[in-house]
Amino acid sequence: MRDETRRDAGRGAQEMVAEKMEDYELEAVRRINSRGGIAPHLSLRFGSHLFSIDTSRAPKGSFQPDAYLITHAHSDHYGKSAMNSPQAVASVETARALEIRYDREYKGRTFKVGQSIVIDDVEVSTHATGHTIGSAAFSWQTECGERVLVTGDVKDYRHLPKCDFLVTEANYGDPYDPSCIFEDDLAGFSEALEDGASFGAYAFGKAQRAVALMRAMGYKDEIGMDEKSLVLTRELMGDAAGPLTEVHGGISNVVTPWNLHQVHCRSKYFLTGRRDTSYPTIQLSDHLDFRGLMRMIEHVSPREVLVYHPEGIRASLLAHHLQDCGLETTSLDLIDRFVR
Amino acid sequence: MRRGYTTAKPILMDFYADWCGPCKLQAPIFEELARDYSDKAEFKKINVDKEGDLAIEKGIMVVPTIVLEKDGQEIQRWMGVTAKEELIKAINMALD
Repeated sequence: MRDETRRDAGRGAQEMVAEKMEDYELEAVRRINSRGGIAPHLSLRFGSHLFSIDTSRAPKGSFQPDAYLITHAHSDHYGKSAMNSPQAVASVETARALEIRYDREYKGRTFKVGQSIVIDDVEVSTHATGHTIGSAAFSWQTECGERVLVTGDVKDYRHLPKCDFLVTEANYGDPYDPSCIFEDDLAGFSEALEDGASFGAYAFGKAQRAVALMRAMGYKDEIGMDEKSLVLTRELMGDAAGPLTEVHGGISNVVTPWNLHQVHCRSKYFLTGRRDTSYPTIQLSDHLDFRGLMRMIEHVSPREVLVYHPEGIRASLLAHHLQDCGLETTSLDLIDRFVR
Repeated sequence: MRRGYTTAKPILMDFYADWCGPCKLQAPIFEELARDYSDKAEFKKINVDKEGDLAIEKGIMVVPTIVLEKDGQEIQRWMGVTAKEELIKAINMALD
């Protein structure tokens, strides 16, 4: 399909979804920031409510939403900015991860993943997504009874509820990119662990996944970690992390990738899906692959979908694919309603 | 590029760390290039220990890594110390 045709098809679908959203008194809007650009990501307006999703904080004096829902503490979900607002809503673990990562106080409300929280008279349920420690999806019903589900990034969709309107991600949502189809190489990871290897993993998310897997695979010795990884893992995993220590040779280490060369160890691996790396890699993803995303969508069985993340082309590619599958879908780039 | 450095010119980003020996070899090459090609491209030095979010966003695994982007899209990346001539060639190709 040519780009213009695709865009026209996208516009048509966007209008259809917009009409449906109006039927439900549900509207997706984006905010213009102080520099005149578009702030990430989006807000959902329904009835008299406005919930912002993984969105940077509106400047003081600007119109504020009822809530800044923060799905997890990765930087491309803008908790660094939203955490400064009393309207921020994040899991206990996400709030703590933001505090450690950015060395500032989280000023919003917290919840335990799986519990409900009332925001401006709306009961919002939360659901584990398995992407990072504390990552959460949010769901609620509008006054018209429409069930909204906002997933954030997802690794495990089993806890997600059925919905009518789905706001979801497409990190590996490109149907034409072979790298969006993958399996985690747990056997390779186990083999490397038995061989006494050390691993390069980003400090928040992948490092805790690696430690959890090492413990699940029966590794009981100390795990060496660099400073930021150590603080995050101790705080967020607690006793489940087992004994942790500073990086040293003779044990398995989990360190930030660019620190891996400083580790004295006979075998080293990056835990990543990238291929252009200077060490061998083991595929260990915090995301669903394309097939997983499709299974997730089937699982939650929405009537309409809005693909809101990541920025770039993948959200619109997944949206087009879902349209081809007969599901009314739009993507973030096609939202044409803005607030200041 | 999603944050910070969106520009019509190609942009070269040098991801480095203060403790990294090879980064110290890369630095004068990069700085010379930045001086000679300032009218054709943007040059940014990024300390991975201070701008970890950006390093993660760009999938940086080792330092030094140089990433060349144009219109927000990555064109090429080099890991390890990279010669000035190789970077010049890539900048010129990005300008074509």
